[in-house]
Amino acid sequence: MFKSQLINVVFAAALLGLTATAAHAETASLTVVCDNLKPQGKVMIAIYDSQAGYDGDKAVSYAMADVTSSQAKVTVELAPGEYGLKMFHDIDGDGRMGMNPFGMPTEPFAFSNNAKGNMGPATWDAARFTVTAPETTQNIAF
Amino acid sequence: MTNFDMSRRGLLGALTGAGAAAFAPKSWAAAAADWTIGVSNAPAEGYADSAMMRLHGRMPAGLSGQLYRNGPAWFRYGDDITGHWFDGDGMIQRYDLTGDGVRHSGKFVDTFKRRTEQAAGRIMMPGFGTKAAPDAPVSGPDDVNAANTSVMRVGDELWALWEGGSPYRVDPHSLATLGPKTFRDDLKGMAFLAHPKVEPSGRIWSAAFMGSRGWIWQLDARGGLERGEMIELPLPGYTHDWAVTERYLIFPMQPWVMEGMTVPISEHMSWKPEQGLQILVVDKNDFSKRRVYELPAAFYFHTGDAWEDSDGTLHFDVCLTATPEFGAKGGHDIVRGKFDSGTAGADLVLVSLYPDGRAVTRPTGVSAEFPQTDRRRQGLRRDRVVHVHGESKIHPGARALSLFDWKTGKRQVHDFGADAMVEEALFVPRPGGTEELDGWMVGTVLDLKAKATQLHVFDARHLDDGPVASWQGQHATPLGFHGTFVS
Ligand SMILES: [Fe+2]
Repeated sequence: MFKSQLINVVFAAALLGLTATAAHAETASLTVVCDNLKPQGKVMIAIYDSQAGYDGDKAVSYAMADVTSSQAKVTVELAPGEYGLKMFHDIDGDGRMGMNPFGMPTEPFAFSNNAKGNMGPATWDAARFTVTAPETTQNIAF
Repeated sequence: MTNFDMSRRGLLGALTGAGAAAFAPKSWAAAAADWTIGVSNAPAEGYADSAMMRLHGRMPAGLSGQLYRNGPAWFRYGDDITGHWFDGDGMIQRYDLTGDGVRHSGKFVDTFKRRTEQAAGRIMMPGFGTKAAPDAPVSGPDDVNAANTSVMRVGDELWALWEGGSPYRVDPHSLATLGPKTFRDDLKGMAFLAHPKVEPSGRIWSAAFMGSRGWIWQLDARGGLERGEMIELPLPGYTHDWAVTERYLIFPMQPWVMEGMTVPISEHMSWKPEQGLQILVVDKNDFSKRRVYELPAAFYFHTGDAWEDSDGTLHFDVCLTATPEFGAKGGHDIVRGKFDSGTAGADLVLVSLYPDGRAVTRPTGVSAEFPQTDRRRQGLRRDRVVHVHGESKIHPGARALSLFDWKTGKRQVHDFGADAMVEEALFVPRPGGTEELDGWMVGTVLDLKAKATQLHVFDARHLDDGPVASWQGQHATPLGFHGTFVS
């Protein structure tokens, strides 16, 4: 129970609020390819362009992809520059990241660069990457 | 979780605050058997099935089945040592008892934690007393689940239990790991105590704790979810084991409170004796019906079982210590080959909760850990409790198996000797028998002289006659915590 207390507190503050979508057209395209998925629901992706935005969950854009096979793919247009992604697999399609009664995630989640969190979300430093024109791809293993 | 009964009453009792090794004469130290074999890595591939050697006696007629035990069995990669005994990787030991004798095998629970650390060749995952490596890939409680504390049989599966994550499902025949148990999609990763309680009806009760909130699991005999509900706790304290009666769930919450959100957890638990030991009693039928009793602060790992008198008085046996010293520090030292014979051991105590709100303790002065009862009476009136007992000057832990009768105050003891590290013994009923403890106690002992784990069978009502039959295995298996017997 010690362990669940600890982990929960860290997670309660993270990975929330991936609900809206808003495209932000620019000159470079970012393709996110997600693998190892159970074929149902959607992958929801939040896009951040700064450490402050990433840490404070203020996304500059969102993307989502239907999951009909073990792979899902989505392309968004962005201004070239540095970005970080937080994403989760919305298996039950309710548009929210599932939480158990203690507030711990119950749906798979991932970060750009396949960065792993340590008792919480992956850090901006581990997740950030550069989007360059004309096309950049992130391959994510769920 | 400890059988390390480090009582001040021992021969080294006068040497308080100092480890036995520091005081032992050199010749004696040299002669002393090496108890650290009990906290050494087991073979990564496990133990292949092998016959145990019969030492004496015969398998009693009517006794057959499998004793499954779980305990931490991997502690180090070279000089990289886990921060706490409780953080070692769980391994299931299986003892198959038939008329032909006893066979032993063992296999690690193939947890995400174990796979990750084995691949990296180092300790990485955070735990009870272990820091997280900077690159530890932790996305939820089951990523750090050590599945190392107990094992129960549910339906066609074994569940390897921890207390901070899900039960890990294991095949009872091959001991192959099947993965964490999810009771319902929205309950994924909810903790499940290593001490679930099984009613005589087969219904299973367990719980999870998070700060001052508690979650109660009610499962059917096959492990299906009947009910799960949140309750408020009287304090954000600690409970490793608990008790149930026919009508009530009893959670003795110790004032050991987590402060700060950093690992290792054991170093951030704060002992707040002014808050007392608050015993929450919840009605099984309506979790909103509750009562809180209070005792002076005390710590324990293990309870026996509870029962209710006709006037509503509740009783349960518990192994009480003054403080959580062992949990905080002892388990860190043990895996480094150190033990402190000055750390107080646990006393066998009966707690009684009266209808007028009084809570009363009845201490016995008997050192005790791993209390076990006739499980057919879980929640029902019974008199006797069997437990490990007695200290040795050359190793931590118990050297004897003992029985205490609350009605008569009489005891029975079988002393295995100073070289024995005695593990939990479980009661197995004699087929057709109904009287309390009509059957056998089946348990294991790590014999330091033989450097081998032994299995002993006692007539449960005649412990002081010594084992009726004993076998010795080919390995010294790491000390385990809890198990289950499947007849
Ligand atoms: Fe335990």
